[in-house]
This record gives sequence, C-alpha cells and structure tokens, in this order.
Amino acid sequence: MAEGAESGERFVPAQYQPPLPLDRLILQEGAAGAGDRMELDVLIVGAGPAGLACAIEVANLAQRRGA
Amino acid sequence: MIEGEHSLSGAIVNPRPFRELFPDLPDAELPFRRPVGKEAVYVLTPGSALRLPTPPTMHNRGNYVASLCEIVRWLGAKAEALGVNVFTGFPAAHLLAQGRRVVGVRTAASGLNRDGTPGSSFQAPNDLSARVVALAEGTRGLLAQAWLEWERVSSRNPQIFALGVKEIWETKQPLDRVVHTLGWPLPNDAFGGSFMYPLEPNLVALGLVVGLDYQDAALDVHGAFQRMKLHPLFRRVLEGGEMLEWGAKTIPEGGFYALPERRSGDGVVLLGDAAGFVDVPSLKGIHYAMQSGIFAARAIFQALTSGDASATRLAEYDRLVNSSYIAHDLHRTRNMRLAFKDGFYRGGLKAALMTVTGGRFPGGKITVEADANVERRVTPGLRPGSTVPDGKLTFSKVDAVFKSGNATRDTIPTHLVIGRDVPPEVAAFYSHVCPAGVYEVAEGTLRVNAPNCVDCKATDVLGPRWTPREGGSGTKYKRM
Repeated sequence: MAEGAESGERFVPAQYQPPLPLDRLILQEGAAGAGDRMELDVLIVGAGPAGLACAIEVANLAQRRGA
Repeated sequence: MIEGEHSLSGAIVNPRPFRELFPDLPDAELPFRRPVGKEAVYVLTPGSALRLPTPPTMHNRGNYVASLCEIVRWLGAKAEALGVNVFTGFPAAHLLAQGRRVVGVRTAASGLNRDGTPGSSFQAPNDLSARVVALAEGTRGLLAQAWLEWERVSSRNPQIFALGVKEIWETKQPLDRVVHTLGWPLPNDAFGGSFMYPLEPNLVALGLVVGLDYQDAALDVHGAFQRMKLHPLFRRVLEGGEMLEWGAKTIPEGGFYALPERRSGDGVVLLGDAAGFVDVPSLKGIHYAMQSGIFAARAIFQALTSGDASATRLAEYDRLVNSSYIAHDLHRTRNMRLAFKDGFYRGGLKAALMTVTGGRFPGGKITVEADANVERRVTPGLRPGSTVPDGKLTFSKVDAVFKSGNATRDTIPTHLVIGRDVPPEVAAFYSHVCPAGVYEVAEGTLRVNAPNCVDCKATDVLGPRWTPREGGSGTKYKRM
C-alpha cells in the first residue's frame, strides 16, 4: 500500500480528522425534524452492562420505596 | 433504554456488582460460563512460547469466564421483569438541551435513501425527553464525547484507545486454561496482547488487543490477529475447528488520568466505558461499568425524589465513584498502561516496579498524547509474515464481517464523515486500521464501503468520524 510514499515519510492523523460536529450533535429542545415525542423520568442510552445495571438499580429503588 | 446486540468483550468477569444487584442469587445462577481455573501467561516469538509467572494484576482467582452478549441478554430480561422498557433499534443520534441543561435525546431517522432523501419506509427521528439522561453508549460514546467537549470538561490526560479483534471458535481440541500472551506478532513499539478463554472446553473465545498509539502506519490489527493464529500455541487448539463469530471493538485504555474530571452535569451522567472506567493491567471493565451504573442509579433516584436533577445533585454520582473501588483500583495502576508508550520492554519493566510499589513508582503522572496526535511512520512494502487468508484458520476482512452478523442495509446514506484531501498514505493507514474493510485505496484514492462498518470506532479515534445510522444496522453478536 501507500504507493509512491517515500520511506521514512511521517504524518499525524489528527491533521486529517474532521472536528466533532457539536452543532449537529447537540440540538436545542424543540428543534424541527422530530416525529413522535415521549416523556420519561430516566432515559438510559445504551443497553450494555452499565446501562442495564443502572436500569435495574433504579427499578429496585423505586420498588422498595413503593413508588 | 435503547440499543442492543452490539456488546463484545473478552471476557473474564469479576462478579462483585452482580452480587450487589442480586443479593439473593448464588453465583451458580449468574450468567457466567465457568469459574477461571488454570491460567497461563506467555511471551511469544514467531515459533515459541515462553511461559511467564502471572503478573499480580492479572490473577483471576474468583472470577468467571463469560460472554458479554449473554450477560447483557440476561440483564435485559431482569430489567424488563422489573418493568423497565428496553427499546432496541433506536440509536440516539443527538442530545437535546435546554440552554446548557441536557433534557433528552433525538433518535436516528430510518428508511433514508442513499442520497439522504426519505424512502418508502421512512420514519422520522423521535424525541425522548427525560428528567435525567444516563449516557451508557460504551467505548468512544458519541454523545458522551459531544457533551464533554460542549461542557469543556477536562481530564488530566486525553483518553487513549486500543482496538480488539475477537473470534469465537468451536474446537476439536479442548482448551483447559485461560491464556494471555505478549510479544509476537506485535512490533516492539505497539502495546498489546492476546487472550484465549474457554467458554466451554471446546468453545473458545480468542482475540488480539492493540493500543492505537503504535507508530507503524501499516500495522493491521485484524491481519496481525489472523497471523497470530498460525502460532503453534493457538494452532494446536484451533486446527480442524470452526470459526463461529467474529467482531471488533475499541477499549478506552487511558485509566485514572483520562477520566473526565466530572462525569455528571445538569440532567446528565456518564457511565461505564463512555466514562472510561477500564483497568488495563487487570484487563477489566465490565464490573466497573456495572458498578458505575449502580452508583448512578442511586444518585438519579435521590435527585428525582427530591425534584432536583441539577449538576449539584447529580454530583453525588461522582462522589460515589470517587470513594469506591472503581477510583481506588484505577488509581493504583494509574501509570501502568502509560509507561508502555516508550515501547514494550521498557514499559514492562516500569509496570513491574509500579506493581511492587502499589503505583508509587515513578511518582507523578506520565503524560500522553491523544492517539490521533501520535506521529505515524510510512514504510512501504509488505510486512514480514503477511498471510494470505486460507478461509479455514485465517480470514479476510470481508469473510470476517460476514461472521459478525452485520445487518446494515447497503442502500443507506454513509454514516462516516471523512476529512478533506486525505493523501494516499493516510488513506492506506485507514485501510489498515479498520478491521472490517470499510476503507480501501483504489488508484490512489480512498474508497469507503460504509455498510461493512461494525461500529468498533477505531477510525473514529484516528480519522473519519462515526455517526449513528438507522436502527437494526450493524452487528448481530450472539456469544461475543
């Protein structure tokens, strides 16, 4: 690979990395474009070990309190 | 809760948070395959394996061999039994804010045509608002990253990552021990090693994990992993068997000094890998992830019952983590992974001294750069020992992606954001970094096969940015 690249050539990957598009990733509430809306107490993004343990403990605490 | 079927880990699991969540269940009823029995650590050369004494940080007495997919399915069923709604297939693509306060997420649209216009099955994004949002997106979580940058939350070192490539094999030969290796096939300037675990005597999980701060621009982790299986140590176990599943993911390796100074804010907390709770010297993250989830739940519950989900209230989560074994364990090994930036042998010596001194040697903090800022060296030509995949023991990237169960529609818009004016040597670098063959160099230009992506985030760390795509895309891991 790297045809034409001279031996010993160096580069820093960050130089070719686009910036994180914060203005597209973080929207103000009510921004146009959404279909349905849903309201929740707690929203956990990601159902891996961290998210699921969090969900189970929240549910346990709510149950214990009789909520 | 959103997402699923994308979990991958070694894995050897410390059962501690399971016992805390399920105090009435004996270990035998937890979702593990078997207790860790015999353990062996080897340094490899191309033809031999030298057994080392197991480093103290790598002892696994009392831990279990497990499949993270199986753990996650089991936890998901427990959560649903408690009345938790688990929505899979709705990737969160945006954070919703009210001023500086996090108030929800917007999911990714689905049914878009390749050019981004709505197709016949188009569904608009949904807005989910909540009093508290917990970001548990896993390694290199996009929204966690965005929030940290938006809030200018600093850490003492940048987060650094490794890429792990893993396979599950049904073998003819039984494996009777947990195996870890160092050395070959990695060059001296790369930090990493392999693992091989018996889920059952004839069901073996193995993989190779390599820090993304290596210097050789032609290093290819998938390729090195394939070559590694030709070594007698692995070949003896795998030959004549069948590769059932393949997958890849990154791992946050920065440890204590890379933790964001706070993992909570107005209406939001960051959990698990998304926050960087991984201890590299013991090769563990799952129990820290779960424990952070438990602590977050307690802080969230208190905040909700008091009607105040402000940063001040949710800072209780940081206090719980900071006074727990999560912070204690990561602090004890705070410089160990960082020492390896000077190469494998010097790093190994320093790490040994750190172990002996409980982390006090050499004092202070070893400073590292973000992986994308590490200079790469271009050396043309094939690497010695490059293999042509035989489809039996070794596999091409295309065959590998097929074994990940990848279900991405090949007519969706690309979800990868590429920099402008990428020169051929950098394009070639991406093609080596990506274990899934997403990037190819054809006639000196970069070609992007986005539907191949298995969401490992390796090139997101080093180059093109990853964004979420429609629900149901990506891997369908079963026993990873």
